[in-house]
Amino acid sequence: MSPVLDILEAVDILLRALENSQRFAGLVEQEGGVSDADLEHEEALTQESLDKLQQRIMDIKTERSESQQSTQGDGR
Amino acid sequence: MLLAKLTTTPLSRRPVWRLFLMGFTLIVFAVLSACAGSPKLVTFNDKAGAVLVSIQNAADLLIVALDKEKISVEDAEKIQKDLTLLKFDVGQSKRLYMLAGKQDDANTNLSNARAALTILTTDLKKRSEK
Repeated sequence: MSPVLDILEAVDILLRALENSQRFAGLVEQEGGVSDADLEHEEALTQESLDKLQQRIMDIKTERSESQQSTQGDGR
Repeated sequence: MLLAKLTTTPLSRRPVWRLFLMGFTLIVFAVLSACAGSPKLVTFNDKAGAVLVSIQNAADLLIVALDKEKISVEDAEKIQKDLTLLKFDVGQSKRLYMLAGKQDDANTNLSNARAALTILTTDLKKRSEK
């Protein structure tokens, strides 16, 4: 991987962490605390993140299973 | 890929620019957490929200670890289940706090969830450093 891509990847990870932290810090400090509606919104975002993670796990499992089937097919 | 390379290559064999980048990343992380990552958590909603944001960050970190093959799918699945349970714990605490009026129990539940999340995140970071 080229140095430029490595740097872009590092910046991407940093920006994602910053976005989450800033959003939450804004709720707590600038808007006078987390309201019930904010908490529900955070719950929805958390569910979204967990769903994305589950989808990624399922994708990898599917890829692995397809690759195994293809290897077995080649062996026959 | 970057973190993987940085943490698996012996220090003496790492190119200078990678060491510089690692240092730069650590400094930026420290500045970010000092500026934005540590708001004063006063109310129950603040604390519950902080746990939820940590779960979101852990899930994002787990996806990165999976993509970089730093963690097996089986282990990732176990951690994903733990994170789902922690989200459930937050919901349970909210019900205790708002509906049953059991503030102490709700706060204890939330503190336990935060402690579990800290252990889980530390474990995740250790894995990605291997």
